[in-house]
Amino acid sequence: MNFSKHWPIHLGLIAFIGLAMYPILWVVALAFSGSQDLTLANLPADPTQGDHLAAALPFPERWSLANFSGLMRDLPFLQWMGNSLIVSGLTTLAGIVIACPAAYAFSRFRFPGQRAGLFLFLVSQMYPVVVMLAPLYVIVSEWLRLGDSLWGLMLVYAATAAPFCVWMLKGYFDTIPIEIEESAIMDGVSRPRIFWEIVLPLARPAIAVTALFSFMTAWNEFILAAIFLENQDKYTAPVGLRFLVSDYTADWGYFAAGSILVSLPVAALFFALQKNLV
Amino acid sequence: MTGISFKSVSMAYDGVRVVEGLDLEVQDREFMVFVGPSGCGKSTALRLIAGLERPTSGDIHIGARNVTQVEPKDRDVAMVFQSYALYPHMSVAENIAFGLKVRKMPADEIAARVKEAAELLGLQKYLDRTPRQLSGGQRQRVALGRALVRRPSVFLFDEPLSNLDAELRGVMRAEIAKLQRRLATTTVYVTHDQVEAMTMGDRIAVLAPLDRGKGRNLMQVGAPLALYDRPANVFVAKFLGAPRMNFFSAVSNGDRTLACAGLSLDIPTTYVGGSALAPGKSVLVGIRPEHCTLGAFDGRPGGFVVSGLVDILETLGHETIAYLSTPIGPIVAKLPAGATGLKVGENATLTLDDRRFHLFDPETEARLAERL
Repeated sequence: MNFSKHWPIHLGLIAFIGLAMYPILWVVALAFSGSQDLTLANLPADPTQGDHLAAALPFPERWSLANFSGLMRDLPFLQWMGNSLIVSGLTTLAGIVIACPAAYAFSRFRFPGQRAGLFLFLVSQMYPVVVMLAPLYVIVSEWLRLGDSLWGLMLVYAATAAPFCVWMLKGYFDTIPIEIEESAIMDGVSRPRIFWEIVLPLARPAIAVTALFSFMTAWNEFILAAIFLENQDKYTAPVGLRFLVSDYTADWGYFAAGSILVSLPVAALFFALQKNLV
Repeated sequence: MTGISFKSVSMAYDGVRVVEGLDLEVQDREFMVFVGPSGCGKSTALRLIAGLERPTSGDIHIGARNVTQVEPKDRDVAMVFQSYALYPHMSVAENIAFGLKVRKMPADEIAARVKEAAELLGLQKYLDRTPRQLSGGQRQRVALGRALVRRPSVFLFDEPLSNLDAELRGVMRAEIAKLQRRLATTTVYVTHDQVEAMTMGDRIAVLAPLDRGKGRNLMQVGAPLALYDRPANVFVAKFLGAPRMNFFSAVSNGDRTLACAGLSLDIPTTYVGGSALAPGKSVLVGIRPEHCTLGAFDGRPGGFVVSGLVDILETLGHETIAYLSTPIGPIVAKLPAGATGLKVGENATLTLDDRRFHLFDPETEARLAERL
């Protein structure tokens, strides 16, 4: 495409990119500003148009790592990150371990309740989590006595993620030619070994996507975690971050720095799995 | 002795009958081809031998053993699939060796067998590659190698050449046939391609869908030329041969002649008389395109001459296929390449060799009795 000929289109696209990136750049600037203020520049007593424009630019007056160091020093942020990592990691592991064999069974075997089961899995995805909040709280806190515990939260996340994971993986297992498995049967391979040595390696891209989805969902989840977790030591990162900005406090600098740190593990996971993502 | 026997085998998928009352014997070391159109149950029959399907009723024997309820791994059969069914995440060597590893064969024995198969199939250079790095023909060879190293009692092939181009198909056809002769292992080969059936098998079993086979699958079994020259029924006569056999209706005059569109033709002397050819009896007459020659009666006794309009001419280089509309119905003739003088839209005269007529009962579609 010739730029000189299509410059209005390019200009429009650049404007849209700027619009999309502006909040992110603002958060980055806020994190590195070293202050807890939401504004990045102090306006003079009689500001000009240029002063207003300069203040709107997501560029701090001075660069500092103070918000990052303060976050680590003043708050148990690393512990929150650790809690998030434990809950998300275990949720992902549990989701994959449960969903892989379940999806394989739904894909390959015919059994009573197969269609109904798949349909119910789908139905369960139609309702927002808040609808299930009360029963989940009773089950986890009252019945299982796992309230205010990472295990309880992990259990809830894994249970709510499993249906989606099963659907995702079943769809992929359906695309693996049945002849490959029949060929293995002729070679004398048992069903469990076919699943383990033939099907799972072939389903790696789907497992990677499903794992990424599970991890991200658990990592970013806030509502359930905020309800289930009471003790500050048990907070996950999103819950901890949320309480940095409340009716009584407004540590925007810490909040921005925390937001950047929270996004790093997901980005790292994405890069680690990207060769398996189609 | 590793023959295969189907004994009154029936098979239905979700209540839909696919194979019904199949009785068939495959001899030890024989190359048997199952051929037929889609839905005739040929692949199902093969899968029944493999053990990938269980019959609804009836028994299957491999050698002296009733294997009807035996697991596939315990049947001592190897199968080559249409889609090759190679393990995409394993190298060629791993693909070939996998079945042997599963059977816990010693590593040095596995290595020796893989090497032997690779040499036999010309795969030495590709052992470290994965299937996606191979051409269709090479993949097919890997699939063959995987079956070969097992040294099974029975080889099963499920349309293994369908995914190859015409040239490679010809090469692989010859290679598989040669390999089977060399290994002398009982082989069942499924195809819908009559050229493969005619050229590869010791015997052919022609199968039909149940609705077209009047409630049964097996239409005829025998040596390729026997089926071609003496098809047992209209289905086999139509299925084998390209272009397919011409058919026209006639009525018996009762004096060993047939009346058709005001013309009279002699019944071949090989056909017996009697009630089957009683006066007024309708007969379906078949004649293969290569038994129709261009031109009028050549002086030889017994030629049946028809004239008609040339509709289409297909010039293939080594021969010409002519499609004519004649008073006895549409006739296709396979003529020599130099069949000069024929033009689309003009009349032409053909002589049908009445010694080569095939007579069928129009109701049962069975071949009329002959004096052999």
